[in-house]
Amino acid sequence: MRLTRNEVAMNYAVLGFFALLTIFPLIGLVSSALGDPSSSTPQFGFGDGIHLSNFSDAWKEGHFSTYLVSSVIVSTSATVLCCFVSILSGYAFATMEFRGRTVLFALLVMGIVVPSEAVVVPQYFELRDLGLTDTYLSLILPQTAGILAFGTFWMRNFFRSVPRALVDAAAVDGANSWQTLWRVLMPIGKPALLTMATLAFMWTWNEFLLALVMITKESVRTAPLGLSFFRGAHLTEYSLLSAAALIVAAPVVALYFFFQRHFIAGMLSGALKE
Amino acid sequence: MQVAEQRDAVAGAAAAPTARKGGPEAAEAEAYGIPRRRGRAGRRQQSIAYVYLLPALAIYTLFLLVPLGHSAWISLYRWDGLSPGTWVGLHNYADAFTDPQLRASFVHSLVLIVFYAIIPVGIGLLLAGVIVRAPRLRFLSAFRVVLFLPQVVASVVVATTWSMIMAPEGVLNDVLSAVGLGSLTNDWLGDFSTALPAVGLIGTWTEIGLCLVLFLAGIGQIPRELYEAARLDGAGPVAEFFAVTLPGLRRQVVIALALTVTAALRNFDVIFVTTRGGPGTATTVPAFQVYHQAFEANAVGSASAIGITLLVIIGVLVAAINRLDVRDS
Amino acid sequence: MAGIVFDDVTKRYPDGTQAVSGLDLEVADGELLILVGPSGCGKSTALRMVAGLEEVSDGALRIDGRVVNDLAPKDRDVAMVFQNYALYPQMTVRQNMGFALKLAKVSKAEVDAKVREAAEVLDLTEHLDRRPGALSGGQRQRVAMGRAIVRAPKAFLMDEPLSNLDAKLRVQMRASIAHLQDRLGSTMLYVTHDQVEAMTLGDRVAVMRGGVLQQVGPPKVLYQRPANVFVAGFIGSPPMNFLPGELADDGLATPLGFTPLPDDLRQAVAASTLAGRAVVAGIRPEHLTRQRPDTALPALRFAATVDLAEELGAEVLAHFSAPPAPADLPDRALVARLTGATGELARGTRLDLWLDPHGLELFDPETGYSLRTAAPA
Repeated sequence: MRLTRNEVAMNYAVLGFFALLTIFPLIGLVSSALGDPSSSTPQFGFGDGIHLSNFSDAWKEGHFSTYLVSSVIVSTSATVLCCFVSILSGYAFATMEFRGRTVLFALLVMGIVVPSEAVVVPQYFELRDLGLTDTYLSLILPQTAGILAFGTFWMRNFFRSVPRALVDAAAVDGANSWQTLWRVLMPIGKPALLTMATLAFMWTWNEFLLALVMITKESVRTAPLGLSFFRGAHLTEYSLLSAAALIVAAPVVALYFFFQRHFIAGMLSGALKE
Repeated sequence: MQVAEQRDAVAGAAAAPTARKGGPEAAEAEAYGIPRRRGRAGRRQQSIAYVYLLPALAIYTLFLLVPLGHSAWISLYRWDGLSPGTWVGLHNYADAFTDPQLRASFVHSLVLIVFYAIIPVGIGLLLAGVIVRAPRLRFLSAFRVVLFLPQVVASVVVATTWSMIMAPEGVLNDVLSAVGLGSLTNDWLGDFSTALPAVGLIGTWTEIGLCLVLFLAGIGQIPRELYEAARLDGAGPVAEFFAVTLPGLRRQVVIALALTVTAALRNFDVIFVTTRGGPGTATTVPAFQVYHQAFEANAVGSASAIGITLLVIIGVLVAAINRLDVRDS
Repeated sequence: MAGIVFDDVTKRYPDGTQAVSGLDLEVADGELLILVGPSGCGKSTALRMVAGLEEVSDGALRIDGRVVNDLAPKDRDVAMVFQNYALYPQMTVRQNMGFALKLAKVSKAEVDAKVREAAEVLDLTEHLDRRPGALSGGQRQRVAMGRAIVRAPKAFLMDEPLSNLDAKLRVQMRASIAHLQDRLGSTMLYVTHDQVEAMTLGDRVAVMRGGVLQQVGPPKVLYQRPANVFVAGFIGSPPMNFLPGELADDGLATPLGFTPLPDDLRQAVAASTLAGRAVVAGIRPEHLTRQRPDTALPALRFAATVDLAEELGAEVLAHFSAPPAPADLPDRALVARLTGATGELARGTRLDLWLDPHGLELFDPETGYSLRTAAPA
């Protein structure tokens, strides 16, 4: 049945309205970041001309170069580590048979549901005892632990989707498990890996509570934490604050626009029938 | 918190497929890839599997399971983080009911669930009813990209943005004045009576796009013929909605509820940045209490108990929601 | 090249089902042996046991005289062609074919040479740098074969390699596989569910059913001397006709009428315990003829009303029913393969047909064994 022109228009109107509603605050953020820094009100219109100085000011005053570097280090390391570890475990769960397979998998997958609030406090004490607080590791390791629950699930899903005959053929061709994994399966698995990597990067970049708890030294501060401190110091300097907020959000948003299909597909993977 | 709630997206899928696969585990185990071998060859294969699992299990155990167990253990003590703690058994948990502050924080959570979950899902469904057979629309992916954006932006940034919007000199008040409702202007986040709904509004904004995207995708999977059959049967738009759209979106509603409710429970970032639980205790929530009790009030035991309670609530919710879902297919 | 020996091999699954029971089978060095049977008969399982993809529950599996039960697939030096080809999608044809050799650390030059050689034999040279996704079904099948050939293994294992091809291509590929096997002199164990393929390709054919070997032998023997009812009905298209019969002193009473028995059958009956009792009689469609069969025996002549006539050009398959005996049994559908001038055979035409007694097979109604041949070991 064809849609009437009215119905099509209605659809666009509704979707358009909510798209605008969604993007309005963010557009406002951009305009505020470009607005007059001396104004005492948030400049949500584009009236006052473009002041790119806000960005450089925020950058310098807010030491965001340090923060961004920290965030990059933490997110990249955690993502790489998590991907590697998840590939290995997902592969084992999908293709090998061993005692305790179901139990171990259930145990791992449970980690997807565990909120960081339930573990951040003892994580702090544990890492403090190990002398690792205020280091990148204190952020990388706990986050990897949490994300690899999803990662293992995700990669196992992928490995199971590969036709069994392909693995058999590799076995008959003489490949051992390691070779089969990296030379036969992972080339096919690049999209799945990419999705996991983008999600892991986003989650680790946006993480706030863990950083708040673990990090006190400014040199190791990550971007979201840096923004929070910056805001405390410049509560009403709205343009400056907006610029800083954009700096913090930009990398992930950029990644998102490039890989949006992967992001959305990964985050909603349970929602749609396969 | 934004991070973990998104992982919940697969919580639904995690339970459902294994439940549906059913069948003897052994047959499934034999069914894929390198087969089980007995004797020397068999033992070699088993140990290889464990080698592959070792990195994941090591990190997971050390940095998630151990702290989790530790948390459960600490929750049974009164401890300030420095001196030795005293055993109090389940007293910390009882406090959740008896201590007015803690009780209030859970009540606040319920309010936020309405804003984070009920309203977005409701609006999403309403829209789903209005947007008929959306997949044929052009620019659908463009809409999707925009609608999903709030899920991707760091919650600290979201909180910063909205605190500027809702500031006394911010846009919200400006708009109200502009439309002649100047008398309603307020310090939204600083006023005792409006702070919590204001935070809720942030949540609604964040989650609405998610619900829409989910439901849009779900609608695309409802066979056109069902709508045609309904039309032929004489169904108007309302009847069509309840007879075809709503049942067809059941799985998506379930997932949306799981995601949004956990988002409501894990919103530490937003609370911390916008209100710090204030004014007074108007916007304290359990997620914030965990931090506050552990690192500001030196009541680590209480903090752990709250954390574990959150875990249990989320776990139960996800399980219950999954049960709804599995029963569906 | 080497032989494959199944020595009382059984495959048992954890829930108790036996996919293969006590299989005793030998594939001689350089032989092409076909494993055929309906789905679920265990033929693929048997093949996968040789490849090492399934574990042997009981018995010994030998390749080239060596027991391989516990050997990993890569240590057995066998190559396999899969039903869905299982080509590595991200690799080019060249890489697909060279993969196993690369894993075996063969020098690049040698790998190149071998791949080029196999590609030439299989007419794949112009496709060497393309990916499987860009190839047709037939080309993919040849790549799968090339992947196996390149390794010069002790034995080739083929798991229904032609079943995904269209009919015409299948006939072509059958010929080229036969030709290839001839040329390479390789030991081949070939699984198929298509009995026509089995009959045309194999040096010997092994029929399996429910995990049990029914009969093994050259195609002609299986056709002319089936060991039991199942083999008789499975091999041959259209299948053998079966009728209930009662043995009398000088012949056999059937729903079609009374037919004499040739000498060898009469001797077999006498040697068995079935004299005077009920048997299952089998007669192939080509032994139901328009003309009187050339025999000294008083051949049975009967009237048949045509239900359906399948005009195949060189012959007509006439379907008709035997009158039920006793009256409460359903009509038996029978087929006669008629050659020569038959005229228009519309539904309802009455034909006079002869039953050639020399084409009769008799089977024990309880065991299914053929009276004429010895029961399979």
